[in-house]
Amino acid sequence: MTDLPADLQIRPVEADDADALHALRQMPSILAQNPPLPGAPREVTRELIENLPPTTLKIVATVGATLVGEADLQVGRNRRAHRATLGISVHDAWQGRGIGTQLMAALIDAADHWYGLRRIELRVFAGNEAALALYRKFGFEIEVTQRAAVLRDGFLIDVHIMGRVREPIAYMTTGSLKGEPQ
Amino acid sequence: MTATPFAPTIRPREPRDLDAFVEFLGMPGVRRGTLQMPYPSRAFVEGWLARMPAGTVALVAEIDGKAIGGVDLLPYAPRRHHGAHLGIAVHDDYVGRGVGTALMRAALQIADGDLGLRRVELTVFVDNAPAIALYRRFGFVAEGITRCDSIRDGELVDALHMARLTDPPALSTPGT
Repeated sequence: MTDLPADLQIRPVEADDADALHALRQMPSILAQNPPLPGAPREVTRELIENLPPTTLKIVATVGATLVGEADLQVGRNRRAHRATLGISVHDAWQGRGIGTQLMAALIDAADHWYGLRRIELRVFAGNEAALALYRKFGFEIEVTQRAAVLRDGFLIDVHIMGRVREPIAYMTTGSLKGEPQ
Repeated sequence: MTATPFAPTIRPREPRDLDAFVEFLGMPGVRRGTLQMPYPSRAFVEGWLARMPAGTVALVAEIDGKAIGGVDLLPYAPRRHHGAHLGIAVHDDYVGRGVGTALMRAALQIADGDLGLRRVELTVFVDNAPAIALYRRFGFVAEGITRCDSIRDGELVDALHMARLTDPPALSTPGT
């Protein structure tokens, strides 16, 4: 049972989101589960939005004027063009309301049905049970556990790489000439 | 039959190595074992080398005045900068003769002795047995497998993730 905010919106990130996004990224619970550096300058986030590569899909969740979450899909290149890396964060005060599920569903739909990706991967700090449960719900499995991969609050902690693998996209089911004699 | 090991000179990579890299990165064996694309142009290789982050340690193995292999230690951002990613490649005509061993030894000497790294990690295709054996000899341990990691010759192949953890550098012992 979720308490999904009624006026939740999912939309592409805009240049004007830079300050709100930066504040989100500097929240204690976000920093505890993601690798940015506490006290990182605002410009880092501004430049990130301004310099998004065309291969990255970045979306935000808003409730009214409040930015309550962000998520992105960074599609690979060349011999990794079939896959993407997914990232997601939800505002401290808005966790447990189903916002992560909405952001995930939006990106997975894009990956499966519009990008036609075969593999999505993500990283999650060991012990982040809420996030692990969300990712498992969408079919991600732990594939790798990197020992002592990130420094958090004085300790080197482990990081999981989770992956989700899909079959190739299907041919159209109506009116396709695939297989018809010429 | 064991081929005589080479004793390559290990030195920093320099701009003059570009042509040698264009040659060996395009070889079928190198492509199979790495993420290189077919027919790498000079501009492609130049761009790839230029995009390596500041602080990258890049060494080459040189035989008869020509670079025939290379190793990179790519540093990570803060909170991960106790670690680095290692990449290595050896010219098809020189594999199996100790070049990779010489490159690994030199890179890990820098990782341990000069950078004080706690973690060096790498990925290798799961069926690249000679490379995996080389990494194991240097203390790398498997941490898992990413499925459908990369395209190789018409297939989606899995990649083994390996890492080597090291204790922090010891304090010096003055007067001894």
